[in-house]
Amino acid sequence: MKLYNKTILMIALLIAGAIGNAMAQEALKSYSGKVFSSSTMQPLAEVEVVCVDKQGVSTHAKTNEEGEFTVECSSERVRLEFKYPGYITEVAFAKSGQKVSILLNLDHGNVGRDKYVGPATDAKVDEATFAKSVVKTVDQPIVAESVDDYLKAVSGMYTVKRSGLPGEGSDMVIRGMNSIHALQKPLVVVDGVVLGNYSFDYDAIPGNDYFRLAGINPNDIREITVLKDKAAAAIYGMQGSNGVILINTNQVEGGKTSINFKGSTGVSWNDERIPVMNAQQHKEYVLHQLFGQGYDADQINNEYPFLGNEAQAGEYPSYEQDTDWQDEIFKGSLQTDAHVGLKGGDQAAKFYAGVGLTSNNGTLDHSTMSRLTTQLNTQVNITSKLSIDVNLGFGNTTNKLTESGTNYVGNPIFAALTKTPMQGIYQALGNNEFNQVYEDQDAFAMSNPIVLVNDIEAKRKSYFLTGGFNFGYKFTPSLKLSVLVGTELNQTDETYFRPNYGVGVLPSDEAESVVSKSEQKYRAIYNENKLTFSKYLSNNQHIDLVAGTRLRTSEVELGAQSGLNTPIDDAITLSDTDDDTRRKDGYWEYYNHFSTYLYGSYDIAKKIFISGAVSVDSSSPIGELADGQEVGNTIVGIFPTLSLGYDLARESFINGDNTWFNKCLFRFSTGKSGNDQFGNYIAKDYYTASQYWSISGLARGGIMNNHIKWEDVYSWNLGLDLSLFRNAVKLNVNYFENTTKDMLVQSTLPDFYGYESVLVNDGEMETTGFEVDLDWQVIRGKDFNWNTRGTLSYSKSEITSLGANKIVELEGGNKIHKQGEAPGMFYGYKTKGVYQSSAQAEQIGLTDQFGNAFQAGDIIFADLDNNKVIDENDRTVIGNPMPDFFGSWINQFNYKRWSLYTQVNFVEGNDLYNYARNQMESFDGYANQSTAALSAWKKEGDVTSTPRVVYGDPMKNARFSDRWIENGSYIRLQNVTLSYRFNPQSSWLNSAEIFATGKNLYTWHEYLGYSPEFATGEGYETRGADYFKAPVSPTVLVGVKLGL
Amino acid sequence: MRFKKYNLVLVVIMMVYCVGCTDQGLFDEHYDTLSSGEVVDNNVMEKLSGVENCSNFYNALVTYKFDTLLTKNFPVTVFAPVNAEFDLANIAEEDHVRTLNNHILYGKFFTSDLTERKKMLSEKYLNFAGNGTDVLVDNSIHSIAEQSNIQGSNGIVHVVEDVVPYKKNVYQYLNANSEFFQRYFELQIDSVMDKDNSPWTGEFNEDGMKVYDTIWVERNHFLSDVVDLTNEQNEYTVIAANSEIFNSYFEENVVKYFGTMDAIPDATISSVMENVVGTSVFPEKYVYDELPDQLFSVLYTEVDIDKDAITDRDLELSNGVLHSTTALELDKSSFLTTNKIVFGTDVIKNRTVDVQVSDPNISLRWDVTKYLIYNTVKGDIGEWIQFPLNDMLKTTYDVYFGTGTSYGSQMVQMSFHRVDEEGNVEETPFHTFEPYEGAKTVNEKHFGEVTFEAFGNYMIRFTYMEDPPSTPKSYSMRMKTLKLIPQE
Repeated sequence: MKLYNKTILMIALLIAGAIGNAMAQEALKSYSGKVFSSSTMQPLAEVEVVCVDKQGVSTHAKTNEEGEFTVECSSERVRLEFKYPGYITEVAFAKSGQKVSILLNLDHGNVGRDKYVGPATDAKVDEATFAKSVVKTVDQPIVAESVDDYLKAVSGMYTVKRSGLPGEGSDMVIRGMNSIHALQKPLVVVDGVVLGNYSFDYDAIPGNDYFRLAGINPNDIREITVLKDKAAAAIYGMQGSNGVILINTNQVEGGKTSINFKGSTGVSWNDERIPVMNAQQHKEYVLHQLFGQGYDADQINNEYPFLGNEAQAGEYPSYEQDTDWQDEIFKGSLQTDAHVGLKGGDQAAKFYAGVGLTSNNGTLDHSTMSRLTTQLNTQVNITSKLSIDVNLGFGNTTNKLTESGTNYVGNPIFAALTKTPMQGIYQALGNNEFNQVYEDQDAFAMSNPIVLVNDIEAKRKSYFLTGGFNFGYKFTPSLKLSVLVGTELNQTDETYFRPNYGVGVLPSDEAESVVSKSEQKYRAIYNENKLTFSKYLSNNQHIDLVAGTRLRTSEVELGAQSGLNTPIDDAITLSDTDDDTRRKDGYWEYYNHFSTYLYGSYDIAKKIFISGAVSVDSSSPIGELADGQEVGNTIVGIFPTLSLGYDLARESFINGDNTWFNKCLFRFSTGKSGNDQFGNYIAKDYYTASQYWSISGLARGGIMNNHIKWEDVYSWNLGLDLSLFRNAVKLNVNYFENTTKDMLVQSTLPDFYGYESVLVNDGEMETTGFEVDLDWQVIRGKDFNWNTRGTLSYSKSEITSLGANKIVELEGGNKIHKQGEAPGMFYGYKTKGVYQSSAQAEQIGLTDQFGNAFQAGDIIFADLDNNKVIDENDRTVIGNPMPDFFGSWINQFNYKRWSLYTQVNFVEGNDLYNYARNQMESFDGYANQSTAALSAWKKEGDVTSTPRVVYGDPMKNARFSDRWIENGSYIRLQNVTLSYRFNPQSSWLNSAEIFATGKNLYTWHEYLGYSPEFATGEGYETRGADYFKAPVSPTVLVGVKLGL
Repeated sequence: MRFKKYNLVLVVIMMVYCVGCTDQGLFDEHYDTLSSGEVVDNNVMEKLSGVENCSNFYNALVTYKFDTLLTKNFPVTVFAPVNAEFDLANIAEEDHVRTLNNHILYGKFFTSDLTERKKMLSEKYLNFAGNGTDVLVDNSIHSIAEQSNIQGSNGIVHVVEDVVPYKKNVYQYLNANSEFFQRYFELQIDSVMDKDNSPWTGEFNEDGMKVYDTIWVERNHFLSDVVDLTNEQNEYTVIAANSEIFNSYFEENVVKYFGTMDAIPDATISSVMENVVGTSVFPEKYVYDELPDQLFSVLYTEVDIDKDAITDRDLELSNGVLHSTTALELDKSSFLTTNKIVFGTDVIKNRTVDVQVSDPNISLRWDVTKYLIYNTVKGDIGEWIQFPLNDMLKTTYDVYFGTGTSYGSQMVQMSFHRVDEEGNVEETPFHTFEPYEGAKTVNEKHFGEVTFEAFGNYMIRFTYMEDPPSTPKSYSMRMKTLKLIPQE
């Protein structure tokens, strides 16, 4: 601890000295000190020390075996940079004659930090005045499947895992909702290349979402920066208003060639079960429904002889099973991941190459993801001034999927929950003997769920390539030009075949078997040119200036075909389908975006910060007559931003010898960003090919609005970064307010247009919120460290101008956009329990819109307009799918070579629509139901919250109401990782670590579905609606990390 | 020491996380909220044995071995009459089982579910009107509210204040109360081939077709083609004379033409009874007070309702209601028909010729020449030709005869013959005439009247009474029509 104290003291003295002395001397000054490793508290040798004087001239030196260094520089005050492979580069300001002690933090086998991350964060200042979160993958020793796994601990970013299907990724929203009709996905930048904000929204395999970032191996990622502050994102102009995720892959470092291997394997299981009726209970339930419809015993004996009173034991073995279908479709599954990273090089050329292989199986049987990724990063210094960086990442992912969504004959989970347990998987012969042939659809036309996982062909192949060439030319040490030419290529091919045998048929559906196929492609060329000027001035002032242009031309293409009814189930191609049922779909759209930007930042001794930027953007979706500046013949948007910072702790009157008050940075930023992600053709008049069965023709593709423009998001952010007790406690607080103006809303059209509505820029929305990040080094000792980090985020959106309320249909329910409320609120009926008795029903005296009176056992719907009729006018806002609060709590313990990492995530205040429960408590047919059916109202005086069981649900007790809206709050033990680092005494093995990690081990929640964490689709439309998604499941993995 | 403290922290944190291994019973909280507190473990039979005031009914169920049915795992609802009203001794023995069956319903129905007609095990549909706490069975019998909705594992028991009587349906009633209906209904039953269920014998006939063992099934044409009066789900109104009036009326108006009931041919019964049904059975149930002035019968005939003639009203049947009326009118045209012979076949002497009795309303075609007796020569006296007259009623007919162009002038005698059961031929000479009237057509001519003393089949015979004259050599009588019209 003595050493530790000494270090802090030294740093404090150093800073105090640096601020006190303004004038520099011209003679060479000597700077010396010692460098330690924070993990071992031992001196570090061979650390590269760079001393940069106020003219920007640098001198290099290295530490000796004792960790000591001496470096000479011409100015009185200098900036010292300490670089060492595997450690995070530290920067300190020093005054001549003082000894400096530096603790270098381990980067767990990774590399330094000084890297291009895009203009807004290209400043050399460590503390940007914008609100952002930087996630270093080393800080989260987890086995991530894709990049989103690292983002769960980012404050202000609501990251929701879509499902337990491997590779389906997450739905991500940064700082709440800012739009209704434009995309709400954050912009993603990978190694400087801005990715397109498109969606592959055609589902050849119904109900599955494609997550392209699963094509990037998380092991190749070093750092992710999330620009939450919309003002910070303003530099991305028209594309920045949803926030920006900057992904940096592993960096070239040079030095001795080293190989890092990380491999893990483990199992995942789903032991969550929704309680459903067993065979006997379901039999009684079906009989109730049949008798309730007026069937008599003879009719039952005729139509459903296995249920009849004449059925003898053993007579209908196919219906004498008792199958737990959930047990049958959810299986323990294997997960393996292996990754090799190779790096090395010298001053002339450095490289990093990563190859990863992932094979993850979902707990839903036969759902798999296998992925091959490669990442190649090189830096070649052609001359001392000219360099080329090449970063290329490629991922090839193959998913075996199943159908998702609301089709009970296709979705195996839906089928498993509603399929009768009376039947078994295989054809039963009686006496517990079975044919090894699956049972066909049952007497209730329900599918065999096992056929839906085993005999369905649902494959997605995707190819994702991103990267570019970055040419850098240093005119002077301060002035640099860089030219980035990059690309994004993305293709997914889906094939789907659903057989006839074993699969139910929807009423009025002609589909017996289904074949579907799609190809979706995205191609983009990206170019960014920028001139950077970065210089330390006298008095420790630093200035950064960036001027640049950014151009993206892209196209997205779909080709899809489907057909029905192949003659036999062995014929699974489109050419086998019935000619009359074959349909084709496709489009080919273009999107271009051009931006010119300027950025400047200035700081005085890291105490006062000023930065500003302006971006001038144009893009192809913008209408010709849009309200904006006209440059040439193009309408452009201008997006300015300004930020200010002041670090109180740098003031000499506070600083002095004070070692506990290390940082107190007040930040303010304000700016404007935009969103042009609303489809490419709203401002165009166009026709589209349309098919009516086998007849093709042309149809108008919507009503043109050539006034359409981007949405403007005005925002400001007030922040405080506090660092106390020798940096042991770091607290970041942000408060923000975003106002969307010219928000797209649907304007209703008169009938003669043939279209109901057209999008116009006529709405407003406000989002406010705050975020708190705490990072506390509770114990920092020689042998034992305990670090705890917590985040808490809050945001609230409100539509402030909309015009008429807009009711949105969603499967099985409604949402509403309403002025004064958050967007996309659940909109339905309110309920007050169940009528216990006829007297009560009579007394309340409500009827439905057809005049049928509600009876005992029906749901008491709230009659909001007091007209005694329950109809559409009694609907109201019943829930908000967005949370009030969410956050994370991470604890990291290190004891000697052991370390334990735990991550808890929580979400509070969101409402979920449990569509699955709605389907399983609707009591309207023969499908199996949850055990709620057992406690349904049966007779006069029963006190229950579950309404009576009536075939067809004549009073629509199961209508979309608050019965199905549930509290989605949860606390989840997201990750636990225990690892042990060896100290190999070997010439070839540099490092070795074994670890065991658990994911999603336990979730505390009140939600009655499998898991409160799921996402369907994108945007507000389906957010919070649970359509029988495969649940996120617990996983336990063991693995090894080796450094050669 | 510090090491131990840290260890402790680790252990505590691990323990907190391991709490995650237990379930929270979330679903139990949500799904088990029914607070009836009732024990439903016992089956219906066990539940019934515990109902003290229904022991008579319970014992009757035991006697007739209903315990298998009521303990098995198939839902039932039982309406148990109280002891005071239920005594097997008061019920005809043949009705014991069907009465018990009339108290049992498949399916679990609480009082609030019993709101419409439902089929009992007796195959009878009963009306139910449940109001939540109790139920009105068959429009007349209340359940006892406190003893309703007794829930057993396989069904529900409702204690009712009276026996639910077993009622006949319209078909059963008519069948049992009128021998005419009975005979009519019997006539409607025949066997038809059940092609679907006939098994293949495994053999082929000479044409290579499969040979089947024909399965015959009985089919009631009336029920399946005319109106299904056994359908307990439909309801009917019957306005019919009571059997006494009905029988005497029929005796007077139908049987007298045939001599005895048995003599009436099936076809006659069918047409007469169809006529009766067509004027007395109506779809839908109308109690007396609701009877309209006119109704369409099940045979779509429009019938004026004479409400004043109704003497006994509102006899409740299981699928309808019956009103007794004195007004009974029968359209005799269904059997009191003209017999007409249209001669049309080439004829050889002394033979009985089958001719078709055709519709008297069809006009004859004159251009077709038909000689019935021709080329007769001397010595043919006594030769005859005869034609059958079937199903002649026991009544008096007017006889009309028409001839075409004939040659010769012999006298011809027309006579009626009847062959009785012993084979004796009884001949009744009727009329002698000379067909030749100058080679011209004689249209239907009234020949007089004939009275048959018994219902049955007769022959009409034409006999040459004298030799023909020498010229012309050939004689012929061209016959056209013969009509016998009942005088009524």
